[in-house]
Amino acid sequence: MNKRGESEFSLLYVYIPYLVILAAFMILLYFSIGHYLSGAAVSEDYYAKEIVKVINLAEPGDVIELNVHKGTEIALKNKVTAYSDLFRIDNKNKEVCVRFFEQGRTCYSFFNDVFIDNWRLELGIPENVLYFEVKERVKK
Amino acid sequence: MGSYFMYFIFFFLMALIWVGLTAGTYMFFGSEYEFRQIDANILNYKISKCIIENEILWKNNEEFYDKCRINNESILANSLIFRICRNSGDCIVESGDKVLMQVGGNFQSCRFEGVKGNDAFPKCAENKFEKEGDMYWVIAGSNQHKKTRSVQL
Repeated sequence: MNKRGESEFSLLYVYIPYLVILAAFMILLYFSIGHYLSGAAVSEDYYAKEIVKVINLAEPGDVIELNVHKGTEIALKNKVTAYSDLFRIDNKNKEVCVRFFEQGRTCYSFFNDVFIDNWRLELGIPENVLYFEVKERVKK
Repeated sequence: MGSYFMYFIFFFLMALIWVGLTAGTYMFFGSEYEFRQIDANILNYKISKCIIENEILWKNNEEFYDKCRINNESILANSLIFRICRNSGDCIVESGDKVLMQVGGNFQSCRFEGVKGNDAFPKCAENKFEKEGDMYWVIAGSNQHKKTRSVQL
């Protein structure tokens, strides 16, 4: 009675290793080039360096507001919804890091010896803005 | 035995496609946003502006870094170089007392014509200016590249 069903099952059984190899290949491909194909890598690179440029030219007392709306759209497209994690300014290592893709972030260093305070992403005023204050570095 | 061979063929084809797609993507998108020349220009600008606006005794480097608000560790860690000369004929090849300060080396590569498209060599900026009768010559270079970090999910 079940002869036909059994033969279909055995045919599927033959294809399972192929499907496993194909799935592994797709996952590997996503992790290796997904960052580039989504446009996130190029945008992260651009935003990190442009923010570093602003910081390097800043003086203590400056208050900076940068429109990063396009970048946040790219992040949202790539399912990065933790807005607080899109931009990071590390005063200890003098680095700006940008994350528009789930698996990675791009960082670039600044050499201006200032302290970046109160950095945050402000949403919808009317577009998304990266806000930070430039202060004199407190010497140890 | 035959089916195992087919698995191997399939795996080999997938690997070949993966290598091709990855190589093509890296070739097309791999080169980063060129920022080293801007980095070098800003460093040169900051140093020159600082020398013009401040009285620096050049006795120790700490004084220079403090007055110019330049982070020494960041300069050393990120392949940034600079050299400051006073009353020098050619700051690139100068040595001795005319070199007021220097971080990094191989400033000759700033002038090599053949390495302008080479990512392994720094991009440089030069500036000459006069202050109180002295001629200052500042050379700054950058070979800083972006750093990619993985994120733990």
